[in-house]
Amino acid sequence: MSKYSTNPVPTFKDAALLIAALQEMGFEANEIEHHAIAQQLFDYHGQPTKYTDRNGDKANVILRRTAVNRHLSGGASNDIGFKQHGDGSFSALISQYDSAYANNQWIGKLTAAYTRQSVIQKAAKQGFKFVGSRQENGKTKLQFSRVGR
Amino acid sequence: MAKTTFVTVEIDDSDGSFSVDLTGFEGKGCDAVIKAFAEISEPSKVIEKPEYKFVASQQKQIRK
Repeated sequence: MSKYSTNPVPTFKDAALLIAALQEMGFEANEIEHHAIAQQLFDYHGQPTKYTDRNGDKANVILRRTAVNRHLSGGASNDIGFKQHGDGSFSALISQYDSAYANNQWIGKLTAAYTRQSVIQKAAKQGFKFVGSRQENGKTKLQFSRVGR
Repeated sequence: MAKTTFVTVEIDDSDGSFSVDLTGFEGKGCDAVIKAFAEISEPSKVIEKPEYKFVASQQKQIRK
């Protein structure tokens, strides 16, 4: 079954940070497509899908099914897409088959990776230097320092 | 001598919610730091430096 559903992820607003977060989740840079104009998603047969849009399910950041098979399901995956809306926010397009792996827990971990990337970027813009990180009790502590001001 | 300011951000690995700890913040500018992080999403908690809380409470009293 390859029916797609749309999952809004309002935290995601920046494609570059989303790509960095996907890399943190194990995907290689060359496995992540980024398109200014949303491109067609394909099912496990290689057929274009039209579940969320009669003109075709399209996304701006795409993990093709070969990469999804390699890193998540190991089976007959479909493409996973992240579609950017007019307000800059993204929705994840995940097929019913892949939602067994790319589920809420996976989206939560991806959101945490996105937040880590965003915090490091925002801190650098404020003149902070990344000192280090440590993980404890399911949380990551990032420490930053800034001299003067 | 220039002071060194420290900021710690704690991120929940399961959902990306985060808190900002400014207890090691020296000098001015913590408002800008809080604002910058709030652009990501609303922090679940902000631990302000003690003097910031004191000044903020004084300002509230003056407004009254």
